[in-house]
Amino acid sequence: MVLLIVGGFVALVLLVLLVGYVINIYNQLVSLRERVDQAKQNIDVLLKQRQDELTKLIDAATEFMEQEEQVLQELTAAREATAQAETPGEQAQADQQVRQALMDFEARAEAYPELRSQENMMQFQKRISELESQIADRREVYNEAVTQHNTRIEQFPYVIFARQFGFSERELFRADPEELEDVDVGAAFDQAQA
Amino acid sequence: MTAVTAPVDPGWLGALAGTLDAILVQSSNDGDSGAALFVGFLIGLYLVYDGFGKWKTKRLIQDTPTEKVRSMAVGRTELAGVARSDGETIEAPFTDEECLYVDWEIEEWRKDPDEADHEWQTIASGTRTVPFDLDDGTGEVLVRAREGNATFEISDENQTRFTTDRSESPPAEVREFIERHDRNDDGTSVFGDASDGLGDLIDGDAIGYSNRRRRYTQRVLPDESEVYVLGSAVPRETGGGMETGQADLLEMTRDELDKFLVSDRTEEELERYYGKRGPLQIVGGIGLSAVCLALLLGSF
Repeated sequence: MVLLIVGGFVALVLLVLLVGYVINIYNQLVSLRERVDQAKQNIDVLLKQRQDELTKLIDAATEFMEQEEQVLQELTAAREATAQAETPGEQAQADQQVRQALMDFEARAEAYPELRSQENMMQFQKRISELESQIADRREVYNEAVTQHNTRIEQFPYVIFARQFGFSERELFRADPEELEDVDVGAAFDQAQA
Repeated sequence: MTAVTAPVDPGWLGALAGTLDAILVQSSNDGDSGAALFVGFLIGLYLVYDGFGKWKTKRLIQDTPTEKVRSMAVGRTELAGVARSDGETIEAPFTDEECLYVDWEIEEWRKDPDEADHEWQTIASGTRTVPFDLDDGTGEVLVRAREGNATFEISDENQTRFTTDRSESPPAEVREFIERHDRNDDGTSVFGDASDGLGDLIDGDAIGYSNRRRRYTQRVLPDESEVYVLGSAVPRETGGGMETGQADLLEMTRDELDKFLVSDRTEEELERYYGKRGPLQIVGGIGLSAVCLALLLGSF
């Protein structure tokens, strides 16, 4: 009789643990998905800040660089492309466009000493550069969150619940192959001067 | 006297064995055996509950990506870097070092009147922590860990233990600590209410002198040590805002739901620590509860 009660108790505890485990598995999947969404939103906040800084930079530069319509248009187009990008893939492409436009802008700006001497211009450029670093950091965090999410939903026993409750793979942020190459500043400068 | 900087701590397994031993001894006596068995049963259930929590903590650590201070955002955040004083430090009680967190304990080898065996009993203890900055090379952020709102996991490397035999004086550092008693100007202990027992040590036991074996243990987080923090980034209490990406406006703390963990171990070490301890505790807890239940039922 004692053995029966003790056995029943152990079985009950194991059952409670099993239920807790199952609930926890589902909660973990939800938490991972939320983490990915949060990481994406954290990047968007910085992208929005970069958009604002780019707008200020273009406004400030227009006054001094009226002859450089093409460079400013390139910068404006890059800013618009970033605003419209939604998926990580589109964002990667738009990012590359922004970087290229900024490089061209900086190279052309060398020809305008009065522009370089403007304190606010330097501040905008510094701020944009800081934001670029922060965006890169947050993309690393995003990719880590996505990798954990994608790996987990393929693992047993998570895969059972993931399929049941519609958890699908999320897209990683992949840098444009050009971004992975070494930047030839000299060539970029010469190209912009030409 | 023996001094050990990285002692072999019997840990919860030792404590579990001790509890089981005490319960079995108790159960052989009449009187309070039923109560002792019931307590053992509840301890077992608590171990199961706590072990499950540790397993969840392991998953939380695993699932949270490590961020950089310069780009951290509001919300649950995991950081790793060097812990640096934000102006204030604590002097370690039993060693000569400046710390950001300390917990200490004085135990005596005592025999409970109702039990047949001796065990280490805590006669005085305390905990204290101060806010510190975490520097990960990209920036610094304030970590506002207060007593009671954070879990500190301190490795054996930062644990110091002195053991004294009967009638042996404790080491000079311990004696100094007890003599100093770290009083504030208004006479209150800087260790607050947690320092229960120190007054008795001074008044009744002639500054740490005892006719029983004693064990003096401290765990510290030294200034300038490598640290891992899992918590919530929130706008700073003073001058903060809701903008993200500005570490000087954020601080690490604990909110209503999140865990706030500070440790001198690495992320991998913590994962292993919680990953092992959780399941072991669950198994041990089920075993303890089952044995106690069987003995309890058998006694009727």
